[in-house]
Amino acid sequence: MRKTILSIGTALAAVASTLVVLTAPASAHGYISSPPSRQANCAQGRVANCGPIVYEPQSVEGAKGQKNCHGGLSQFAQLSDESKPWPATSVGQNVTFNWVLTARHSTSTWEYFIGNTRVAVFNDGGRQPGATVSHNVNLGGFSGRQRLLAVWNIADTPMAFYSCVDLQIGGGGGNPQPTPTPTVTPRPPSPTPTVTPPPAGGTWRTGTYYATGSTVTYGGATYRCLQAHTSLAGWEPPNVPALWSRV
Amino acid sequence: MKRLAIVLALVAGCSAPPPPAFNAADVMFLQMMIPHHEQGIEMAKIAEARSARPEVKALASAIRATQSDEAKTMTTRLTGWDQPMDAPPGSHDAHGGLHETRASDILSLNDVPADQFDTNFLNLLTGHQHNAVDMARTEMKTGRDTATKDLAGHIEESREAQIKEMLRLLSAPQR
Repeated sequence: MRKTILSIGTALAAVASTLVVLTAPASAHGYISSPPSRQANCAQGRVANCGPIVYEPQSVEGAKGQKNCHGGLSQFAQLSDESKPWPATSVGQNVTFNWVLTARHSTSTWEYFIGNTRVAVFNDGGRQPGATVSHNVNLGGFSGRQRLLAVWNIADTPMAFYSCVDLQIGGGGGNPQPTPTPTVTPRPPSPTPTVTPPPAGGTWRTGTYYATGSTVTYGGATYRCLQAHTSLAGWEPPNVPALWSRV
Repeated sequence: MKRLAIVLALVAGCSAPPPPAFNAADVMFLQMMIPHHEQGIEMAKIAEARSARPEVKALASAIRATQSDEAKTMTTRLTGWDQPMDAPPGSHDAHGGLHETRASDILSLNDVPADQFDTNFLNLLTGHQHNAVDMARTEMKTGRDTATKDLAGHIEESREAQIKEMLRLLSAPQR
C-alpha cells in the first residue's frame, strides 16, 4: 500500500507540472504606481467604472510602437477614455516615475512621451530590471495639464507595456504633489496612539484603525484586537486569528 | 488531467481508501505559496525596522502577522497530506522564473537610502502581492480541496485590498 501511495504522489507531481504550464498567468508585468497612472487610479478605486483593469493593472501589454493608454486592448479601452475624470498630479519640470513590476523581463528601453514628443528615453540594453525601477524625467518645458504616456519595451518579445499618467505641470519645484480632488475618499487618521479607538462593540468595517485591545462585533460574535492595524477586506476577524481573538 | 483521473480510478479499483480530497493543483499552490509568504514576511520585517511612516509600519506588521499564520496553516496541511514541501524543481521555469521575487530584490531593501525606502518597499511588495493574487486565482479555478480554495479566496481578497492601500500610500503625501 505504501508503494501505491508513493506512486500516486509521483503521478500527482507529474500532473502538477503540467497544470502549472497550462495555468501560468498569461501576461502580467508592470505599470507606473506613482505619480499614479490611470490603471493605478483605477485599481485604487480613485476612478470608478474602469472595467477589468482594476483586477490586473499590470497587464496593459500590446505590440510595440503604439501611442494609446490601453495598448490596443479592447478590454482596457476605458484607459483611453478622455471623458473620464482622471485626477492629475501636480508636478514641477522634474518628475520621478516609479514602477511596480510583477515580472522582470529583459528590457530594451523605457520611453516617455507627451503628445508626439519623446521627452525621455532610458536604454537598458537588454538587461533585466533591478528590484524596483524609477526614472527621473525632465518634462522638456511642457506645462499645464498633460497626459504622459510611458512605454516599457521588452527586449526579447515584440511587446511593450503602456501606462498613462495625468499631470498638472507647474513651474519650478521637483517633487510631485498630488492634487486634492473630489474623487479622493476621505481616509481615517493615520495610526498614532492619540487616535480614539472606535466604541467598544461597534461592528467591524474596512478602512478603520483598530488599536490593540479594542473590541468589535462580526457575524454575531465579539472579537478583541490583538495587534493595531487598519482593517482591510479579507481581514475579517474570523479570517485572521493573528489580528483578532474571539472573546 | 486525464492522467490524474486514471490514477484515481486505479486507486478506487483496488478497494484502497477513498481518493484524496485534494488534487495536484492544491499541492502545487501550497508548495509555491509558502515560500512566497515567507518572502513577504521578510520584506515586512525590513519595513517594520526601516520605514519612517507609522501607516507603512502598521501595515507591514499586520502583513507579517497574518502571513505567518497562513504559512503555518499551509505547512500543516501539506504535511498532513504527506506531500513534499518543495515544488518540483523548475516549477517557476514554466513562466521563465520572471514572476519570482529574487532574494537579491528583498536584500536590496536594506541598502536603499532612508528617503527612498518607503517607495521601494511599497513598489516591491505591491508587485509581490500581485503575483500572490495570480496564484490564488489559479488555485480557485483548478484546486479541489475546499479549505485550500477558501484560503485562496481570502488571499485574493486581502492582497487586492493591500495593493489598493499600498497604491494609496504611494500617491499620498508623506505625513
